[in-house]
Amino acid sequence: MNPGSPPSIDKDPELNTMVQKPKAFAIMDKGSARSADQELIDRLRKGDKSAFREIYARYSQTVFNLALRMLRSREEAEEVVQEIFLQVWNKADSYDSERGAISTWIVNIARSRSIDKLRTLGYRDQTTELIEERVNSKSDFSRIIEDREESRKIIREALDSLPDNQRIAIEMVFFEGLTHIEAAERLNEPVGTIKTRIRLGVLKLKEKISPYVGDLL
Amino acid sequence: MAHKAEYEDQIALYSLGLLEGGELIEIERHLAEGCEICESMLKDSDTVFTNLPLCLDDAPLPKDLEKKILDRLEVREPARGRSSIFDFWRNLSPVWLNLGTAVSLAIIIFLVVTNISLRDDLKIREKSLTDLQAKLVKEEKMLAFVMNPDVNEVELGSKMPDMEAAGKLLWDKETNKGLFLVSSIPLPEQGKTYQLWAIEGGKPVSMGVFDVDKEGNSMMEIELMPGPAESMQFAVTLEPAGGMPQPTGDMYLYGSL
Repeated sequence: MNPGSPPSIDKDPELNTMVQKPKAFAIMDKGSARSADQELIDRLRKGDKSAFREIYARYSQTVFNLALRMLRSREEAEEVVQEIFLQVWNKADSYDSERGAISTWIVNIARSRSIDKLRTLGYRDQTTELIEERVNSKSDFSRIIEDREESRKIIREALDSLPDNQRIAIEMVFFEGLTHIEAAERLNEPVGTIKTRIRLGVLKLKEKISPYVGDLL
Repeated sequence: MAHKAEYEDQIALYSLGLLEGGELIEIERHLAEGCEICESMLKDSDTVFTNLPLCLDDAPLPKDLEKKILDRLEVREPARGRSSIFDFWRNLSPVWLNLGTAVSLAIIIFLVVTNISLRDDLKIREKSLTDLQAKLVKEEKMLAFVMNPDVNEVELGSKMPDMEAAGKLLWDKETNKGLFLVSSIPLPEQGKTYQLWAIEGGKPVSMGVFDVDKEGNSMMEIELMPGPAESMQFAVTLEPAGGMPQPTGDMYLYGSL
């Protein structure tokens, strides 16, 4: 399959089956997921390297993909991924499972460090400091990561289903590390228009992916 | 808490950490007030942005990445909230203790040296500040004299060949206080000083001695006798350090009312 053009859920019988059984990807319920996250972090806080290896095994690929997409340089991405996991190790105390899933925390750190790197490299000048502290989602892609390829198809399908202007706005702020103001300037559109496109896009994405992570919300 | 539609566009941006200043404060306050709709939208945004990286193709992970990170963990211990200070000391090996002592000593020495250096620097800066303040006071006085309509002005010209020095005496007729300014006068040789004289009826009266800076400039406050005559003259001579009761040296500047 061409990775750039994922199959349509409507047309793909296999995916269609999954839509009928949205919880097939969810391997734990919310309570046990949260306690598992907390347990992992507790071990990390005690300096348990096996816990660290578990976290690395679970998230390194996604974090590297994201850093590479944002930085477009393997060398820079590798450096940033090292910083991300060192931060996870050193700042385990700052994570609170009651406030959100480990995956959200780590993705926030990954975006924040990647944006820092973009700024260091001179690609942008605004800091993004809050995102790694404020973790509010109880969704955790680690629950659906059992089958990365299927997860990828679902998210891509959702992203590709958006109107181009919403998809582009979301990709610019999420993957390119631009602010909504910078995105508006680049697209030569009013800032308010970009904000609305992002909101509508997020709303549609949530509708598309919630059947797979809904029981974790 | 009443939901406000105008915040809806802000929620996804807040989720991404893109809000700043007033917008950030406003949305945080709104969420803290318990708007359930916005809270729900925020969770939706977080869910989307947490899962969005999954759409990316897997790129081959750099070789030895995990090992490199694990190697770096060796020298960066995690913060362990539950361990006590006693655990910390108990866990330190003698090698680390010795190394720690050496590093601590080096840091102490560095801090002491830095402190001395900073103190010297501070003294220099304090002196510089004092000089600047003194200069400012002088300039304020000079400005006050210049702006005073009751001030008389006497120009003193050079009496030495090839010397560009000049003097000016500003004198307030009401108070009999004056200000004497000199510029570009040669630096006096060792053991000598300049002295200003007021001469009335051929009789010189010392107005004081003055030092000059390295550019040959000086400013001195003086007090004249009440009601100086129209014929009063002024002169600057070079005298032995401390000044003389009567002029004995060469005349450098001269002027009259």
